[in-house]
Parts: sequence; structure tokens; C-alpha cells
Amino acid sequence: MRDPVSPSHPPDSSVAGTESLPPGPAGGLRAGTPAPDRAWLERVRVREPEALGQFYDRYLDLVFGLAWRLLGDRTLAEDAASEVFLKVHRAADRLDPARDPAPWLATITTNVCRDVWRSGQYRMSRRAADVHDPAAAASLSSGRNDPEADTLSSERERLVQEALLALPEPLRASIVLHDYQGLDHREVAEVLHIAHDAARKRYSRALAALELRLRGRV
Amino acid sequence: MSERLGEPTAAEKAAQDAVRALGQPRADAAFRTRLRHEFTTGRFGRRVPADRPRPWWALKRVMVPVAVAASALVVAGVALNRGPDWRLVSAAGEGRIVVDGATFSAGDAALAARLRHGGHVKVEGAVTLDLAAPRIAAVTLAPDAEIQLSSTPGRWWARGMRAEVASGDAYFTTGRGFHGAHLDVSTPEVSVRAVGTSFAVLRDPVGATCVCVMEGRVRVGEAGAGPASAVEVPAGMRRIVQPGYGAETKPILDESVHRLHRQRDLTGAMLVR
Repeated sequence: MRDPVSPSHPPDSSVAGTESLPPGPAGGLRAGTPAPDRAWLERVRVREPEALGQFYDRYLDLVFGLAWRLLGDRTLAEDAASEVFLKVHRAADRLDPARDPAPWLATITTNVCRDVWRSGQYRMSRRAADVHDPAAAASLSSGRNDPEADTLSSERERLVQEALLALPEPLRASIVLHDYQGLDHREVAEVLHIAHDAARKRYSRALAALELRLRGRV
Repeated sequence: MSERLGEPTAAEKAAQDAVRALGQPRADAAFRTRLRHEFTTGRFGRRVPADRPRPWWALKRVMVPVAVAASALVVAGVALNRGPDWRLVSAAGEGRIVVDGATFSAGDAALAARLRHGGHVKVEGAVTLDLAAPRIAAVTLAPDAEIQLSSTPGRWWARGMRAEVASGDAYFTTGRGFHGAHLDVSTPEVSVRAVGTSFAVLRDPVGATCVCVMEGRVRVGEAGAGPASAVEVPAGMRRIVQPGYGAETKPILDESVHRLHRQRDLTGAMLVR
């Protein structure tokens, strides 16, 4: 069994991998995020409070956003983020300061979400799921002072998130990790513990399924 | 679903773009602050289900005494439910009694202890063995009888008692405390169910069984047949079953009446009839 909190990504599994990647959100894995400072990660390793606070500030959005997209529920995403940071705190001394911890965090987050998928609580919440979360919509607004544009953007968000949540979990994870989180297929394969080819095939299936669900809606 | 790994179609590219354009959900401020504090201090709130406070009834200091008390109740219940032991009323005549493979003479003091919970009993020679469980039942084994006898019925549950007569003559009389229990007697040919009565089960060496009813009623059916096929045999009658020759009901034999009266005379005080 592979340790879910062991930093297992290769040194070259940087965000901007070999495949074309989209621009991404701040604090995510996507291109343009500066590599973390090694000395700073050394301080995280020894759980220095100030360094831990900076680590948290830098990666909370990554963890929470990924959990949100995988689980589709604010409360579950908060629970998952708490669980991830608990695991990170416990395993901080195993952090490799030579590597960007973002893929490691993506792996832990995905594993935690996978546990949530298997739980009865998740199945119950899926039955009563309301993808349209006003708080989320507010947090996603563009800040352009354009209510109409914001409404359209929010509606589009809702439709895409609905379509993602309608996918079987393995396919959803494939799409979210590659297209939302910005991992290349090799990194997705490592996060999902599958072969590289399998990750590509799964992504291809996932994309076709997502397109089918979004057809004519966005 | 295709396994195509080439370039995505235009529609798929649009789907990709839609996902890539998704905004970054942000946790609310209160959550951010709380989790930041937990992460930087290492003191995480007990949020995961496994770490939630356990309900009062799941606490060790409650569960252990409850488990002990429940176990004690079960043990006490089982002990109190046990019916009275079989007692040796008399063992008269020349011969041996074999109980679960151990051989005793008729006057052996150890015989009574060995018979307390029933067992496989074989009477060899001219011995007549009388057993009784106070208020419950009496069993008499005539010479050369062989029987598997169960312990007596429980007081509140497990109210059944069984006897399997392999050969010879066995006589049964139930007492006042037998009320609500039932006695199943079987031979290779018949099965008998009684709920309070005096009757004899006689099995002869050629494989015929006679059930003689002196008092009360019993239902007699062929071995292996369902209860619906059983025939009720009233007091004063006997039912003879011989495989291959059918079955018939006739008046009870004087010999059986005599032996059952003898049994009642001998054990009547114990049975409180």
C-alpha cells in the first residue's frame, strides 16, 4: 500500500509539464506559480508556526478548490481540507524541500476525497445536493461590478459543476485534476495510482462524457 | 465510449475550456481562520467522525459494567432456567446399567450422579430403572431397554424434552410442573408428542413400536412424516406401527397399565400429581 502522504512525485513533475496547460487560479498548480523557496519548506518541515501559516495561506485555496470541485459540496470540501491539513501537519517532517509540495497536496486531497466518496455521508449529500451555493457564487463573482455578467458566469459555473458531479467519480477526478487543477497526464496518473496510458484513456473517456453532458448547455 | 487518444473534437475542447474557466472557490473567512489556527498550532478540532465525542453509552466506563452485568444476567438466566435434575428413584434387579459408555451395577452409588442430566442409558439384564425429575416427569426403563434421554425442560424457555427409544420398553408420566412443556419420544418407526400424560413406548426386537396411552392424549406419527400425518391416540388405547404392515389402534394392554400404575405409585409424590 502506498503512503497517501508520502511525497512521491518526481522532481520534474513541475506544474508546467510537457503538455499544454491552461492558466490557473492563484495558489494552484498551474503555470506561472513561482517555485517555493527551499529554506522556507525546511521551516515547514520542522513545523515552525510562521512557516506553517505561510504554507497554509499559499495552499489552502488549492486544497479547498480541488476538494470543492471533486465533492461539489462546501461542507464536505471544508471537512476534506481540514483532513488534508491535519495529514500534512502530521507528515510535515516527510516533506521534501527540494520539490514543489503542490502535487503532493493534490494527491492527499484526492485521496481524502476518495475516502469521502466511499462514505455514507457523501452518498446522502449527493441525494440532496444543491449545486447552486449562493456563498460559492458570491465568492466566484468577477468583481467587475457587472451584475449581468456575474449572473451569467455564475450560471455557467453551476452548469459545468453539475456536469462534473454527474460524472462517475474516477472520470470526474481525471477531468478536475487535468483541466481544473492543471496536472499533466503523468501527474494525474501518479495522483490516481494508475498507469500513464490508463490516465490518458480515462481522461479521453471523461472528456467525451463531460461534453455529452454539457452539449447545448454552455 | 471510445478509447480515442487523439486531438479532442471542437465540442470537447469547449468542454475543456469550460472546466478550465471555472473559478477558484474560496472557503469562508471563519473557516479559513479556524483551520489556519489549527494548522499552525497543531491543535486540530475534533471534527472527523472517528474523533467525535462518543455517546455516553459507548463510553468504556459505561460499557464495561453494562457488558459484565449483561453477561451475569445471561449466566444467571441460563442457570435459573435449568429444570430439575433427574433423580434415581430405584434400580431393582440383577444386571447392569450403562450410562454414556460407563457401566454401573444396580446398587452403584455413582449411578445417580451420572444420570442427573440424562444421556444414553442402556439397561442390561433384569434391571428395572426408575428415574424422576421432581414435579416434571418420570421415566421407567424395563429390562433390556435402551434410550437416549435429554435433560428436563427449562423453566421459561427451551421447554422441550426428548427421548429416543432404541429398543425395549419405556414408560413416561408427566407431573404438574410439566405444564406448558412437551415431550417428544421417538423410535426408528414412530414419533410421539405428548403434552401431559402417562404413556408407554414399547419397541420390540422385530422393529414394531407400540404406544400405549393410559391417561391424556398423545399424537403418534410415523418417523420422518410430518405432524399433519400423526394420529391422536386417546387414553385407554394403543397405537401399533410396524413398517411394511401399516399401523392400527387397539385397546391398551393390561401389562402397560400395570407398569404405568406402578410408576405412578412409585413417583407420584415427587411429581405432585
